[in-house]
Amino acid sequence: MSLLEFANGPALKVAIVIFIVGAAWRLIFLLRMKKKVDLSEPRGGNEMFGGLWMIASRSINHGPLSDSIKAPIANAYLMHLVLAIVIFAAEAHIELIEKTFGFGWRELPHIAVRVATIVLLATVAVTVYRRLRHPVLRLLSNFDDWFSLLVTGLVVATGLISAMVEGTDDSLLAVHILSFDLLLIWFPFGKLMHAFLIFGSRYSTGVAFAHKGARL
Amino acid sequence: MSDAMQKHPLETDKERFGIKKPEARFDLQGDMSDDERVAKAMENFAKDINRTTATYMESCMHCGVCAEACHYYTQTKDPKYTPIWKLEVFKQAYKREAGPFAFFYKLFNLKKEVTIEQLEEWQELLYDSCTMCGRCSLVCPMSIDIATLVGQARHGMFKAGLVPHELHAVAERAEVEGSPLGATADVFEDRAEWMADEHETEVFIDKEKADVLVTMSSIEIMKYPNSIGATAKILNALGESWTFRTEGYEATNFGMMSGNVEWQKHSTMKLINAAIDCGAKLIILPECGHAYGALRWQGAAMLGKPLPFKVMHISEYLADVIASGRLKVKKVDQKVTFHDPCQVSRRGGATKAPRVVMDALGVDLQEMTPGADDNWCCGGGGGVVTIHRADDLRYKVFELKMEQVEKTGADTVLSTCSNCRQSINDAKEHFKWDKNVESLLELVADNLVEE
Repeated sequence: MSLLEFANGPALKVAIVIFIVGAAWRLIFLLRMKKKVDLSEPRGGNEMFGGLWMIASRSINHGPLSDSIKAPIANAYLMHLVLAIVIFAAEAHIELIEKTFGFGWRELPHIAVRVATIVLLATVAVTVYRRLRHPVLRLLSNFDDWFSLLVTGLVVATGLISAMVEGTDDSLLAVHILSFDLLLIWFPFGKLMHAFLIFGSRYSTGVAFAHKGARL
Repeated sequence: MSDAMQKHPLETDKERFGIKKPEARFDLQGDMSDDERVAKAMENFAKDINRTTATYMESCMHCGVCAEACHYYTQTKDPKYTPIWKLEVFKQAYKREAGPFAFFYKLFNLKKEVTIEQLEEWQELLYDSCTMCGRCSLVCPMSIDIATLVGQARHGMFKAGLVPHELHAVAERAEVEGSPLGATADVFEDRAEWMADEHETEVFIDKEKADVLVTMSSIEIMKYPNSIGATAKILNALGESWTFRTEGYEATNFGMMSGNVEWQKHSTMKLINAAIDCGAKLIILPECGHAYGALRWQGAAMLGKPLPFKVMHISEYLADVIASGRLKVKKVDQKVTFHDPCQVSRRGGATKAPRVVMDALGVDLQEMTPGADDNWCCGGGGGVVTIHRADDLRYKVFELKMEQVEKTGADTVLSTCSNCRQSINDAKEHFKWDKNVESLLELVADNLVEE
């Protein structure tokens, strides 16, 4: 079995199982916890709407923030935007999705995806730099932060390299897929889970604030 | 003289009316061993963990954005004041003991056990440098309600005997004497009668039946007693059937602020029982921010079922009777700014009410920037104003408020929280500041259109 076959075969399968079981365990664990019932008289707002509105609006309305934090927030948005482009608009990824799920869509030109990938790497680099430099982030950062950045950066960098030297060496693609396997395995245990937890966290606060009639 | 008075004599000659500054610091209560303290802290913190708070614990991305919304960080640039960092030891304990992967964290010691040294260090972060104003919740990308978690962490700290001395003392006094500042039922009755004479109005105490139960804060009773007369004057002008009840007149809740849930419940139940006893359909809460949170939003949880009456902050009540045309006020030619109490506006949802009242008064309202729900806290909430060792930090963060007020060009700051008023007056004395802080309630009472 070649390295590529291993990465694309048993390693990927194990990674997917760990990803699904780990993420499901973490979410089900939370969902099974007792729910606090608010017995106070609501002010009258629709609480479910408040929860859903918070999920959507917190992506746009960042509240009373100083200008100094706006650039890092813009960097985070750019990171997520180009990440979506790289994941869902690269030809190789769409082919994989089509092969797995039976449907796909049109890819973006290689050059656009490569530019997006380079921008993505740049945003990761900015995040790392800021985390190293800013006193608050230095204090807050732990293994989870650094390892999550490392695996994300690794997947992106190896993907870019393997795409740029396509057809010359399968081992580069194998390393890319192996790094993706690693990301899947790490995903449920660390902060990457914010991709799912964001809905629960925002929804809970939205419901509570709507109950009080507080601004969402 | 009661034990509480002997142990914690009152300091009555200062702008901040509270417990006399202790000669030595005693920030530990009880005779527990260090291990017992840690165990108690964790056990009582864990008691309150539910789906929402656990989700919050799981969701932090360590982005640090909350720091930018916190007056303590903004004014000091000390990263330890980052709001979510104030929960770090409890997050550590949650992940090790109660989270979905606690087994791994414990087995491989990936999260260390919390130590007494950590808890002692965190006492300052959870009490001295957090007013639970909730401004951080407005900016967190995950919408984590950090103020709620701080309140929960305080439950653990109280049971572990790790509360700042003065805050513990006022909470204990409230439990023992019925008021944190010596406003016992007898004292209250005396002052209410005095205010009835002063305002030439009638004050009803212990009426058997009444539609409205009126409450006061201890700060108002002892420091700003005109609130009693002002409230009576307005309710009498409206012809309300109302009363104070000596078994439940004091709405402040230092049990809640210090972290003692039992004491919180005792204080709340006094008000609830007083309202039930006199058949009140409405409790009017005084100009006090945390009193509003304690009864309006947490009261039903203390009773274990929905409250059998309505609860309104005095500003909501005034807005209601003005909007319905029941209460008429004269126009006031005055340039003012308004300080929103965090627990009434941002965390209470009653931001519009005082603006309805000020609109009726016709004052020239100059809003602060940022204002309303985004307003900076005065720095005295959450019990912080009682803690002497936090004074320097509190004054430092108050500079933000002074800057905000200065920019409005107004000489008068109106507010609907006597604790904010006290904090602002104390800082005013400290800085020799030339602005005045006044009560919106009293401004209304002084400008009633008598028919």
